[in-house]
Amino acid sequence: MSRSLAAVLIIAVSAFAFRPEPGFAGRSNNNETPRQANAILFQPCAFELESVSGPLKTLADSQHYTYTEYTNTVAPRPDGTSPATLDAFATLGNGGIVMIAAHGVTDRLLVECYPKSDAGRAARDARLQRLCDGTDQPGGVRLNCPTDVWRFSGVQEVVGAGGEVRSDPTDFGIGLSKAGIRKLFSPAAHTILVMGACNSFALRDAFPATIEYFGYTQTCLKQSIVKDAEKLFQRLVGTAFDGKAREVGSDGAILPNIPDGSCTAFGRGGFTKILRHAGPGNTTVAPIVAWIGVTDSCGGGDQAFTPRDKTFSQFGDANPVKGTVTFDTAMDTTRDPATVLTRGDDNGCQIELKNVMWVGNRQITFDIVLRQPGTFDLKVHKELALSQHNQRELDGNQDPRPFVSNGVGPNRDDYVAKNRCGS
Amino acid sequence: MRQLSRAAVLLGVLVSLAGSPALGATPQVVLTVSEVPVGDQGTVATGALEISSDTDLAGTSFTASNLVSGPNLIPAQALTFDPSSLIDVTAGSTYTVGIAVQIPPVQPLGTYTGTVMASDGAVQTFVAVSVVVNNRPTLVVPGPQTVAAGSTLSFNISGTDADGQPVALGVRFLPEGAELIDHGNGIGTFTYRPEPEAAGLNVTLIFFAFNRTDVGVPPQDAREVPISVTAPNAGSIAQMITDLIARVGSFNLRRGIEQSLTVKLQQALQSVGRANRAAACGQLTAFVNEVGAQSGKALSTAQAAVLNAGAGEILAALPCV
Repeated sequence: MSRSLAAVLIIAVSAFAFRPEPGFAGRSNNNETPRQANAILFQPCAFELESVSGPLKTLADSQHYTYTEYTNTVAPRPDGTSPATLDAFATLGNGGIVMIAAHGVTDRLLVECYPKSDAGRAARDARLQRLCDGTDQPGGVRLNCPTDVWRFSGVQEVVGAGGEVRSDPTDFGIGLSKAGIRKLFSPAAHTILVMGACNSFALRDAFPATIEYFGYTQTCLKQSIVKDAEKLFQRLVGTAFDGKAREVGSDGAILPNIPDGSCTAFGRGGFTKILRHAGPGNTTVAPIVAWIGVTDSCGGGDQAFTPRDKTFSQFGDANPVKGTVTFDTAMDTTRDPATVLTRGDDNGCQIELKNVMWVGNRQITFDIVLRQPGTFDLKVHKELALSQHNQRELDGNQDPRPFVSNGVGPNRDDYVAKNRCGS
Repeated sequence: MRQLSRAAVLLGVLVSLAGSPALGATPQVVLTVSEVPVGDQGTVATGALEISSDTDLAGTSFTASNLVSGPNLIPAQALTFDPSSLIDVTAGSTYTVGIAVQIPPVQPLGTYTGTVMASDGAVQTFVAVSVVVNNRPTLVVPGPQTVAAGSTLSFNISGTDADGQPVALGVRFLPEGAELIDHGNGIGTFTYRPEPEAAGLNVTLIFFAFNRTDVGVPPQDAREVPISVTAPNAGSIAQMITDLIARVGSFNLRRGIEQSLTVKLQQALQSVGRANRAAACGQLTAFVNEVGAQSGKALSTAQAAVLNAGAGEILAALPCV
């Protein structure tokens, strides 16, 4: 019994109904990316909670975000990572996608962890003293003790000599209050913040309402944090649901928020039942040619590119074919649309594109003049079809499975449409 | 028994294929239970399945068998799936399907087992499913608490289980100086002695109760207790001095030294009782001086450090300038 109690973290079952409350936003195809093109993992207690490194790195690699990891481990620190400290925490505002794994409670988050030893305790106390007297100012910010920052520990049960079960610290830590968090970490709009800490959904109001916030409503299971992150990130990069559930989804106007069943990354559900999301919902990690007409279960749908897989018999300047491509995300419209969208490698029809122009920040319209029978391609160029806010490149339909997979990671692949001209 | 059943479902994936596609090789379909439904009587227990295939599957539907536990049964109609419509499974993608089980209010407790079938008309795939019916304990905690820095806050929490199962009590996050002891009888004692510098701290702690025999993912009842730490007062300072006297006594010092140190602390205690801060500060300073003089002699350096730290906290709490 004692080993079970000591070894196991506990998860709670939500009492919320299975089906969603009505009125959430669902899919919008009117998205924005985060403001920065980097992903940051911050895990100050990895030496006891175990590392959750992996899912975020996979996302970053897939969608070409730079990746930074702050990890405290007992073993030698993994190559390429840095210590997870308050100073590092103060840099998280530079992240477009941020994942934090730590101990939490409804109004505190452990941000520095020291091993459970006399040396760890001494180091923690010395650090706290420097913070309290202002000698150490993370990010140049003076923190107040104990209202901003104080001594806390993660806890587990151990069996005492008399058979009683006693809560025992698993670390010596420094915890930030909501006020302290606000002083150090102010993420920009559409930042995706995954808070892998127990009870962390209650910390949501420490952050701006404009971010996509994910947190847990109760005590949580560390293995579930990894599984939830994998599931969420696979959807955001399009490797799940055929690239159709890349939008974060599920508006956060009503708390507690639960999946709404729509074909979006959070809305499609299947996460630990105590994971919640709050935020605008219309966030993607990179642009794609939009999916339209997709069912809630992510079935069906079409790609918002015309013409595609069509045959034409209208030739000459007087009979142009009208074309449009609609992206699911706000785009960088400073790029010449006539370079973003061009003829493809195959131009058997000797086509000429005219009147190529941005309409709003998500659509390009154009006219196609056909000259002779044959086939032709139209291409959206990966390096020029960029998101407005963080310049992430298009996730097109050439990698993987050319012409089959649209919006399935990795990004930095063109979108190509094939058509035919009849005689 | 319930633990084993749940673990088996979580760890073992049971996949069997029946029938075959019209053309080509038999698709490799993987159907797993990613979250076991666990719920109280009279509630909806929710869980999740995941399905993937190496071949596109069009119009896949899900159906369940009756779930049984000994002579007891949850009818198949009590299980519903989300989405309830047919889904298309594209090769290489993993799809999540929710399971909801309406548990009647009088459903006997136990682990109910059955199967779920996924079928696109040609290919049928089965997975074993368990549903755990088990009422979570009820936890009772006190309301918001206030404690003066330096004094000790103590209260009990209690968990009871309507099914008569033993209850475990827990907490996952504590400030320095706090502890919870689960006595094993459904009662837990929380104690917290904030250091003087913690004055002004406000923290909400979360306690929870679950069935002691459950491991992994037990249902729980969680309750919050906000705690505010106020500035030290005469009572908390007196307690700190009393504790320091006890600490001196615990060192088994030479009688003369112990008495000399204790007398100074007792005088300080009396001064605090008379609200004579200046006198208390003077007596504590005398105590610190004597500790310094005896360090490495009648007192070990470690003992001296402990006593100096304790006296320093009291001097800060008074405060003395």
